[in-house]
This record gives sequence, C-alpha cells and structure tokens, in this order.
Amino acid sequence: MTSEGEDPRVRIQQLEQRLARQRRVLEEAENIAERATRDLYERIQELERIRVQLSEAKEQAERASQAKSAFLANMSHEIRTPLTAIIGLAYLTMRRAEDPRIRKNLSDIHESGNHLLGLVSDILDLSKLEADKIMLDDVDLAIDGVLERVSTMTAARAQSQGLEMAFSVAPEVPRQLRGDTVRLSQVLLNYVSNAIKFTERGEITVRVDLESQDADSVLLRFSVTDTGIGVAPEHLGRLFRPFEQIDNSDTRVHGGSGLGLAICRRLAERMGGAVGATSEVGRGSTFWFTARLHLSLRTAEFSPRQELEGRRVLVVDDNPTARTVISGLLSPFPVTVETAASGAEAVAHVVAAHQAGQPFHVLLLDWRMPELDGIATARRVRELVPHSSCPAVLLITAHGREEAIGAAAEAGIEVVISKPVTESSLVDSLVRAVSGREHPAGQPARDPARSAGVDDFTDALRGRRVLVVDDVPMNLEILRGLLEVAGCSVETADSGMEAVERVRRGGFDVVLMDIQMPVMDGVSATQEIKRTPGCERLPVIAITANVLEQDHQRYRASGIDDVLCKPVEPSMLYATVARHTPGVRRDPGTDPVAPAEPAVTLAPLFDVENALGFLGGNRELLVRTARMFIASNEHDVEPTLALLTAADLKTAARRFHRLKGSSAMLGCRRLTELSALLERELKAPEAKAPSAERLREFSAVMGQTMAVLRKHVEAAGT
Amino acid sequence: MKGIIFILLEKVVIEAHGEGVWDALLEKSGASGTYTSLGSYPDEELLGLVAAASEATGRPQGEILTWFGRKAMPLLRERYPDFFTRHQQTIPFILTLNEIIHPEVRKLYPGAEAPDFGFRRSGPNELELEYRSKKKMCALAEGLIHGAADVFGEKAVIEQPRCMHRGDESCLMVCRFESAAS
Ligand code: HEM
Repeated sequence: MTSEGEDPRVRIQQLEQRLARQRRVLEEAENIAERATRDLYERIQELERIRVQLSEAKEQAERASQAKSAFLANMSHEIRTPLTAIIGLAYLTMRRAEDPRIRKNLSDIHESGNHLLGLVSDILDLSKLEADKIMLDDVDLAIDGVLERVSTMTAARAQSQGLEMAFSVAPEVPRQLRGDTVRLSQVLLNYVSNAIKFTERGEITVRVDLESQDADSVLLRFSVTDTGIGVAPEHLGRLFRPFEQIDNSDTRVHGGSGLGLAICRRLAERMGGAVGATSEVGRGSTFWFTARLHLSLRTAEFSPRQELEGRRVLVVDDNPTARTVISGLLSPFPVTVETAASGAEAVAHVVAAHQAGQPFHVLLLDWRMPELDGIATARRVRELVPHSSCPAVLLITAHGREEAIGAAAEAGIEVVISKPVTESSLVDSLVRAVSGREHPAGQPARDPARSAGVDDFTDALRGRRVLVVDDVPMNLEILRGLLEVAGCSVETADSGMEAVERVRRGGFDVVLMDIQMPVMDGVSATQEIKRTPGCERLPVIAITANVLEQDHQRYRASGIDDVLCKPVEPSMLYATVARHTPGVRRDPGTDPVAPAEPAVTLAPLFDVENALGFLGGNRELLVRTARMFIASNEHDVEPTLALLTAADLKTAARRFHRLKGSSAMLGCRRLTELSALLERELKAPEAKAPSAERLREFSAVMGQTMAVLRKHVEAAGT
Repeated sequence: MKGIIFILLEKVVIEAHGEGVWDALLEKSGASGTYTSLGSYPDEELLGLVAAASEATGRPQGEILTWFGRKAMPLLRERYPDFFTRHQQTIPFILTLNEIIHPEVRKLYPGAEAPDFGFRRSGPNELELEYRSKKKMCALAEGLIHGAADVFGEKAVIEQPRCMHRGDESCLMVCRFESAAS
C-alpha cells in the first residue's frame, strides 16, 4: 500500500482521482434527486386525485344521507295518518267495551299509540331539520310575547304541581326583534316542560340575557333553571344527542322519544346559537340555549315609560324570589319600587307614605299570603287611607284566575294578573291602573268583547249552552271569555273524543268545534256527534285557521253547520251562534241578521282597539296590514260589482268572503258585517244579485273604510 | 446493497486508516468508489472491498465485516438518533429491528434489502437471533450487535452455534449482554 504524500506527482494523481470520484458522486446524486423529485411530484398528483375522489364520495354520502332524511320525513308523515286512526278507534272502542280486560288492552293500545305518535312526530321534526327542510321565519317578534306564549302553555301544569314560575328579561335585551317565534317558543317550551316534569317542589326560573350585540343582530341567551332532581354530570353531554339517551336510566329521566333536546339543539344551531346544561344532582339544573335574532327596524311607538314616569309602586309578596323578579321587571321603567314581605308591613308602608306626603300610586299585591292576604290588605288600606291618595291595587295570583277575579271584584280591585308575571302583562296592567287613576271620569277599562258589539247580541245569546272544543287551552279561554260576556253558559272539551262524550250526555244548544286537533279532528268528531241519536240536529260550528273555500265545503259536507275563521271576530261569533240557536228568548220568526238591518250600518268603520286585539297590540303590524288591505282592494271594488251585474254570484260570494276576513282583521267592522251579509245573501239557496240599494251601501262603506284606513296609514307615516 | 452502507464503510476506513488506504482498496478491488446514499450498488462490490482489506491485513473477511459493523453503529446513531433514544439497553433496542428499524429503512431507502430476524429470549440478559439472508452477512450482524452494545454501555458476548457459511440453513447468534463496567 502506498502511504500518502510521498511523491507529489502520485499525490496529485490521487487527488485528481478523488476529485473525479466526487464529480461522479455529485452527478449521480443530482440524478437521484431529480428522480426523487419527479417521484414526489407524481405522488402529490396521486394524492390530489385521491382527495378529489374522497370529497366526491363524501358529497355522495351526504346526498344519500339527505335523501334518507327526506325519506324518513315522508315516511313519518305517512305513518302518522293511519296511526291517528288506530289511536282514535282504540279510544272509541275502549269507551264502549264492556269487558274490563278488553278495555285494559285497548287502553294500552291507545297509550302506546300516543307514545308512538309522539316519537314519529319527533323523528319527523328531527329528520326535517337534518335534511335542512325547515325554513325559519324572520318576522317581527316580541320576546315578552314568546315568554307569554310559553307561560300560557305551561302555567296550568306548574300550578297543579305547586311550582312557582318566574320569567325575567334582562333590561338591556331589545324588546323588538325579528326571528321565528314558533321555533323559539318550541325550544323554550321543551326546556320548561322538562323542568316542570323533573321538579317536585320549588321554582322554575326563565331568564333571557343579552350575550352580545352587533349592528343588526343580538345573541340572546335563554336559560331555564329548576330546583329539580338534576342530572349526573356524565350524562349532561349526551342529553342533546339524538337517540343517545335512550337507555334505561335516561328514558326514565327524560321520557318521551328522547329526541326533544336533540331537536332543540338543531333548532338553536339553525338560529345561529348553541345549547348546553349545567346541573347538580338533587339540587337542580339549568338548561340554556342561545339564538341570534335580528334587530327589528321598527321603533316602539307606544311608550309605557311616559305613563309610568315618577310613579311609586309597592310590591307585596311573602316570597322573596317573587319580590325580586317583579322589582326586576320594573327596573327598566322610571318608577320607584319598594317592597314589603307581608300584608301588615304593606299597610304600614302605605300609611307612612301617605303621612309623609309621598303616597304610593300602585300596590302590587300577592293574593295568597299568610295572615293578611292580598284582598284583606287592600281592604285595610282603603279603611286607613283617604280615597284621594289610595293606591290602585293590582292583585297577583298563581291560583284559579276566575276565583281571584270574583273575590277581587267584591273587594273593588279591578286588575288581576296571573302568575307567572311577565313584563308585558305587568306593564300593561300598571299602565291601565295608573291611567285609570288619572282620569277617574274617563272610560272604564276597555274590554275587547264589550267593544265588539256584544250588546247587540246579548239578548239573542243569553242562556245559550255552548260546548267549546279546542286542544289549545288558550283558545278555549278566549272563546269562553267572549261567550260568557254575552251571557252564554260555556263548557269546554280539549279533544274531539271528549266532545263526543259530553255531547252524548246532552245539555248543549251548540258546539264550537276546532278542526285541527290531534287524535280525533273536528270533522270526525262532528260526524260522530251527528251519528248519535238525538244529536243529529245539534248545530256544530267549525272554527278553523283554514281559509280555503273548498275545505269549508268539505267541512259542511261532513255535517258541520257553519264555519268561522280564526282569528274569530267577536261579532261574527255572536252572529253565527245566535243564528244557529234560535231559541226561547227570541221571536221564532225573526231572522237574527235581517237584511238591511240597521245594526250593520251602526258598527264602527274602523275600530283600532278591536284590530289591535287581533294583531297582538302591534301597531306597526296594523299599519302594514292596513297598507296591504288598501293596496289589494283599491282596484277590486269595481270588478266585484261587475261580477254581480254579470250574475257570477259564486265568485262574488268568494270575494265578499275574503273581504269579510281581511276587514275583520283590521277592525273595519262595518265593512265586515256588510260583506258577511252580502256573502250570505249570495250563497242563499235562491240567491239573486243584491239590490241596487245594497250595492250603493257597499260602495259607500268601502269608500269610507278605505279613506279612514288611508288617513291612519298617513298619520303613522309621519 | 444501498450506497449508505458503502459510505459508512468509506468513513470507517478513512477514520481508522486515512484516505490513502481507501484509495488503495478501491484501486485493488476495482470498485467505482462513487457512492450516494440512495443509490444501489452490487453486493459484490462491497464484498470485493472487504476481500481487498482482508488481503492487505491478512485478517479473515468475516473479521473485517464485524469490525466494520461495530464501527458503523455509532455513525448510524448519529444519523438516526430516534431509533436509539427510547432505549436504555441493547436487547430492547434490537427487538425493534423487525417492527421499526428495518421497515423504516426500507421506506427511507427504496430498494433496500434489510433482513428480518428470528428472536428468542433465552435468559434475562440473553437473546438468540436467527438470521437467514441470501447476502449471508452474519459477520456484519455480529459487528452491528457489538456496536449496539457499545452504544448502550454494554458488552456483548456472541456465539454462533449454527452458520450458513458452515452449511447450516440459517445462522444462530446467541448473544449475552453485560454492563461494560463489570
Ligand atoms: C443490532 C442491530 C442491527 C442488526 C443486527 C442489523 C443487521 C443488518 C444486516 C445483517 C444487514 C445486511 C442485509 C442482509 O443481511 O440482508 C443489514 C442491512 C441494513 N441495515 Fe441493519 N441491522 C441493525 C441495525 C440497523 C440500524 C440501526 C440501521 C439504521 C437505521 C440499519 C440500517 C440498515 C441498512 C440501511 C441496511 C442496508 C440494506 C440494503 O442496502 O439493502 N440497521 N442490517
């Protein structure tokens, strides 16, 4: 072996050889690098191809899953129809069955059927949500309205369990928003019903807070807190996932299909929010959700603030939570609120305030308090304080409203508020109470039924025995209220089935029947009634939100005697009931609404209060509706009259039907009654074109109505 | 054989004996001497270099390969520390050969023919490796095992009761490891 560096020439040769080797290495490395780069490039290409394939596969899978959801939605719908029949028939057969074992079996079928129906409905809802088939409304809504709706639907149950319910809205939450009232209420209702279900004693608090706000929307947080059994922390996360809580421990806790909360979650997500819950076993839970709502463009026109400015209010309740909630509801308003924890304390306060020359203007009294109750407290105050500085008294009751109203009226208390107290009910009552104070000679508290022409019909209606059938308690209450004012005696049934039962027992002059009811709808119930011996001639008046004429014909064909559209306009209600119950107190030969009856022309052209009654007090909506009415009728009068001269009476009748409905909504009562009259005349068996005089009358009323509405719209516009 | 092995050999030789010796080995064996780590070169070229070294030193070829393996292992650790750092001892390290080290090698060097071993724990500090490869480089394996023991501060004693070079079907290496201090 040669050792390095002996001979310079050898050394140079060696170095040259090494250099040459290194060059070749470099070249080879270069080639390898190039090959590797190309290789890499091809792999990236292939990865890209695979990625595209995967995303296509994913899309396909999603489409398939959507199709599945859509299929599920259709199926659930299809299943519901026969299921409803099964449930209804099981119930009917059960009522008739003699053998107790058969009765028991049928009752089980009925119960299971109902359970299944609930499950199917939930699946339908959920699959619609997952298939993105549910469109959310974006219309004006009032948060108080949503809470009120929820409270109306749950109050009875909460009361029957002896639970306190409190609703509160943080003062910074804007009251006028846009969103989907129905869906918002659905979620909240689900939470509140659950809370009631799992709370044996204590209270349920519903809060609305402002999470965040930007230029055109707010994120609201709705939370429902109960003092119930609570949920173990490890179960909390699963509650909102569909089907997951269907294991033994959880169905026991949550009942139903277990889909309710999953539906809530989807809905909240659709509303740009989220859901969640916190809980402590044995102490209670808080379920919350958030939803993004748009700020309404309209500004509140009605300002209770002014009416309430500077008023002094004393809140009297033995329950500290109730005191806090009510004071809280009043905090956005410029009123001075003080509280008292008992009747005696309240009396002392009022007397002291009177002596100090700073009398209270309003006394908010809880009815049921130990020792001195609300009514006794009011009496004591009246005895001790001179009339001039006696506060207006508002009685708050968690118990039977009717009972309270009776007792309160005896004690001279005008206003009764039912618990749960919401801001709007409280503020409305307060405003009414204080403005009543200021104008002692002024008009008595307005009663919508009274202004709706009840006086014209009391004679015809007094003593009529009416059965009102509706599955929505609120509707029952409304109708009961309207009819009782007119002197009718009213009973209610909350299902078609119950209606049939009650009618069989006899004692009614007329039935007011809601059409859309679960289990047995109004049409089937009517058929059942008319098949019952002795009831064939009992008049049944349908009440429906359905305005399609062909459906009304279908109702009539099934034996229904007359159809009223929702919202039921009181004078229509009275007129219709009166027409179908010609009885003892009336001259047998007189038609209740005789043609050209002067009463028609006496009805007001435009009754704002009446219209607001239909439109939930929403003045902005009234203006918009009026505008729509003007726009759609401006060019409609001439053609309608032309139809009459062309003797196309059927089409004309339909026109008047429509006019009747739309004018009723607007409180244009003279037009409503006239249209109703015309429609009736045109539909009579031997109808002929109305007299020229009637047509002139119609043109005149129409013109006047339009003029009044235009004025109203213009006034609102400035 | 992958170029990485040739490059390791070059390094080991130059480090121990200088560049002139490497030049001479190349010249004598007729090997090209241009190796890149990712390239593949004939096994004979490696064996030729080993034979040349054997001739120059008068040592058997096996001994040369073993020496190379032992010296190469610390260099492998420098290049691939991840294979080593999770272990404190030689046996657990060797036991990752089939599952981790050589599979990774095959991915890093496309076309690499790294062997799989049969393992048997014959005692707490004893491991038997069964080796069968057409390359028949059990001597290299022995060297790599010694090198690994060096890396973990241990000493390996290896016996080969069976060897392909003696007509057996496979080679069996019985390795005992002890801490280098004792
Ligand atoms: C004690 C541990 C090890 C032993 C016993 C061992 C054994 C062997 C043997 C005997 C060969 C020759 C090929 C054959 O016989 O078929 C080989 C090849 C190889 N080993 Fe290992 N090895 C060990 C550790 C490692 C480590 C830590 C690395 C580096 C990451 C490594 C990388 C390679 C490479 C790159 C080849 C060349 C493959 C080819 O060029 O086709 N080995 N090994």
